[in-house]
Amino acid sequence: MTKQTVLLLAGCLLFTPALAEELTVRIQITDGTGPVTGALVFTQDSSRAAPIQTEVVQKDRMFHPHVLIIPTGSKVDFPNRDNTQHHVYSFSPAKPFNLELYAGKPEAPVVFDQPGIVELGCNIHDHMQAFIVVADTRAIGQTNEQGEVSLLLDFGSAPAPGALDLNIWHPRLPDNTKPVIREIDVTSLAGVSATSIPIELDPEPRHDGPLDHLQKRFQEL
Amino acid sequence: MGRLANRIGFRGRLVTAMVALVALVSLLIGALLMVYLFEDEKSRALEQLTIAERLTNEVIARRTDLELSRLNVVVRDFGFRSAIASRDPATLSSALENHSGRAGADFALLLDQRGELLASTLRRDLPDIAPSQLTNARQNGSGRSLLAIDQRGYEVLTVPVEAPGLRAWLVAGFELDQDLADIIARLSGSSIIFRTSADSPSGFTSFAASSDINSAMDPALLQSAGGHNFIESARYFTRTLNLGASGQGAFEAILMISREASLQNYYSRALEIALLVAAIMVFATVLALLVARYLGRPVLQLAQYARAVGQGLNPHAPNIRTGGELLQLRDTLRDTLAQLSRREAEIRHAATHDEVTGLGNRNALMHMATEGFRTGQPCSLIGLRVNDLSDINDTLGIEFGDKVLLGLSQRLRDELSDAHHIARTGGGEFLALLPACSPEALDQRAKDLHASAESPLNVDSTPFSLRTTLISMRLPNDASNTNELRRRVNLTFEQAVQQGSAITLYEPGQDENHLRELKLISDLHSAIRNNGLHMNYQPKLDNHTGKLLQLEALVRWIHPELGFISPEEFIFLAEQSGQIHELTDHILQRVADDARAWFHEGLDVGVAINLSAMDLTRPGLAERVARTFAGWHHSMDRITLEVTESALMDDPVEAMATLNRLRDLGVTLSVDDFGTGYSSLSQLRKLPVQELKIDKSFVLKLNAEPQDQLIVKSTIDMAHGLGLKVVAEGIENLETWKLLQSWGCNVGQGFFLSRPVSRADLMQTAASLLERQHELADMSQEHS
Repeated sequence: MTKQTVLLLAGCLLFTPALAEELTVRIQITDGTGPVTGALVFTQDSSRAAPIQTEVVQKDRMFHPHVLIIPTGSKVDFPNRDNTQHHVYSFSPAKPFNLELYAGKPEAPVVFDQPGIVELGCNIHDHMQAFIVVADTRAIGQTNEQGEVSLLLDFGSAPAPGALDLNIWHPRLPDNTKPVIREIDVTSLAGVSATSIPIELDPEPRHDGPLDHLQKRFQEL
Repeated sequence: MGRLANRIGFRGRLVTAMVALVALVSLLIGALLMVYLFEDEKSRALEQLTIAERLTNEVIARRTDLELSRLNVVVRDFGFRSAIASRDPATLSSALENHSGRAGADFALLLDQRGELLASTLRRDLPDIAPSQLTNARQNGSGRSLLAIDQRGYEVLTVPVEAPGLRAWLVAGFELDQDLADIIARLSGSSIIFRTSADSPSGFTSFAASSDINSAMDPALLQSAGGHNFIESARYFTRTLNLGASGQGAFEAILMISREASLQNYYSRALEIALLVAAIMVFATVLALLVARYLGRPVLQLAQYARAVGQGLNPHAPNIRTGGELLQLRDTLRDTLAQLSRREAEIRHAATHDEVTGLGNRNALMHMATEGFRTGQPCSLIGLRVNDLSDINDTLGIEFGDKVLLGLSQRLRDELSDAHHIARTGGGEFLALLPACSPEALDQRAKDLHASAESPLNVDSTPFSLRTTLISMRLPNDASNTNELRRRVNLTFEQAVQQGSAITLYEPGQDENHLRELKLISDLHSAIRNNGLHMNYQPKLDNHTGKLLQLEALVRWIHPELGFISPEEFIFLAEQSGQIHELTDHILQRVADDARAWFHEGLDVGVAINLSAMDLTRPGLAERVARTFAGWHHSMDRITLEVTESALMDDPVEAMATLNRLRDLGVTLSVDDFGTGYSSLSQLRKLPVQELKIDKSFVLKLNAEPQDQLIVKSTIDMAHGLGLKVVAEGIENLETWKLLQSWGCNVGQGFFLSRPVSRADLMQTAASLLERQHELADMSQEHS
């Protein structure tokens, strides 16, 4: 298997010594020549996000969205919009749950009360996968197509630390059950410079649709 | 070698050559096949090993895939994942045992994400699972390694348990056991041994083998070092297959094919080939025999044909189916036969036919006669001779003569149309064999034929008359074989010529005389040589005084078988056979010797010797006489040579010359048998003779026959008138003696005086004559 080394280029494009500081990070695959899109980057600051209620829809035997970011304590519904039943489960320590075969909308939403990565699966459709990232902080973002993401850091009254642990997660991390943690020197981010930290990323799986065309047609009947 | 080749013959050689060729080719092919087969078996075994190698790889790969699939099912099992998620050790262990059992694993381990052991079905320390192995497995979806545990080899597979993120690792071991080995062995047809260098620093240890191998029995398989692709083994073709290595050591599979089994195949093939070669050779031999028979038969047929031709048969040419040279040979033989037959017919025709007349020749006639004698069939024979053919040829030419003969032969054909055979047996001699008939009828036919043959013949438009002599014989009375026939025909012809008769019948006995003469002629020769002749002497007395004057030598021949042979007969035969000169010389010599002898004994007489007519034509006679009587004790005129009158008349000129020469010697010449021949007195007058000897036919009965008396007296007178002395022989009585005495005859001779006496009795005879001299002497003169 090929290994790809993704260089996380974390550069403080802008550092504001005020209450809210913005940290912009670019994540690139150095040898893969290209930015990593959709990587999740967050750090533990003093900000807290308010719980929300949202949903992960099962449609066309896929979870939508594939990656859901919610604050701790949020409630998530798992409505089934397929004509087959689904058995949604998670064995992640952050939130193990088990919604046995059902159609339509389950009676109650699932409350994610601990931060962490929650992998979702369907017991009768192995290919169905989705991730819910439960975060305490608002300093969280996903890299854009250029592999860049900007985080607003809020340390409150406390002084800004010299070093900062950056949590980086991607569905294709070799161990995607938890984020990789990279410590970056924040003081050095005063200038417009970047540091690179190599992390491994699994190669992108072949882009077979979960259903082929005929199956889709069959489903729609 | 050559003799052997001759003995086995063409067919044998053909068969030998073909069988040898087939044997050579089959053995060569057989040997090549064996070599190729051996190589083929070997390369087949090696090929099979190559296939087995690929097959082993494939079987193991498929087994691995299958095991992975099972493990993947296991790790996706919700219950299993639930059990892992529970983190309860007892639950984990029991679920692991249960689910690994589902996958058919021989052992299973469960590790957490970091590789720490969560649960195990093994009761011993866990085998060493390298972290890198997990990393690889994470990247590839699964990991595979080989491990040796407790002298057993395992394929160890590592699969992640994802839910859906990585929750744990499932490590499952599947033993490389005898079942696998048997499957591979069954599919590949070779035996297999799994071995590893793990746990055994010195070499390899086998941990599984297909059930047909007792690995303990061949330790060489285990001891041989790795790294070599082949393991030398006396019993197997082998190939070593590297299955992979772990940290412990290398794992190998050894594929083996029994040499014995492969070569067993080879040996059975070899036996089959040997049988095939043998069968081919038998078949080839039979085929060769058939072919040789087929090829040889025409040759034998031709040989028989040629033999039959050689034996003079006229066989049909054999029908030869094969074309080409043999047919050509057959045709050549046939043509040769035809030419031979034609030539033989020509030769036979030439041998049996006369070319001038087309009649048979002597051979043919004799052949016919032989046949007749053999069968005893009686028949008649007529012979014809043209009397003067040589004259015709000389005067009119041979061509004309041939035409005469041709015309004559046609007449013979016409006249003797019933003849068995007509042949020209000599120049002018024809013989014809006719059906048997009575002597009268035969004589009549001969007469008719004679008349026909002598009637004028038209030759070249010229009438021509022949003179012929005919003979006739009756067979087998007159001759019982061809020799007799030939002899008697000649004899009869000679007789006919002598007799001058136109038609002569053979008279029985003639031939016997002839044979006697032949015998005498041949015996005379030896008698002359061996003193077989006797000399007798008859006294000749002076007719006047009765005194013994001369002895006439008379030759006598007592034949040992035939007794007394008359001098006339054997002298005639001597003349006929050309021995007369020899005989004369012999007599001259005997007489000369005897005369000398009696002279020495005191007998004083001359000699008289008879000469043959043929002696007179012999030029050397005078010399002979001179030589014989050289140193003669008397005057030569006391030797009287007597010559017959007829001898003088045959060739007067030559006789005259001889007589003159003799006369010159001084001998007395006398005309013997005077009065019986046709003496010409004019001739007599010219002859140098001194004496006439009156033939005894005039003297024998002189005393009683007045005519004889007249003749004798006249002759004496005439002789005296011519100056010749007169001798009278055949004086039988005193009366005659006295008559002659009275007529003045000079000398007398005869039985009255003395018979011829032998040399031994001569003295006694002379003595008795001396006593009678007085009686014989002319008394009248004495008295007068």
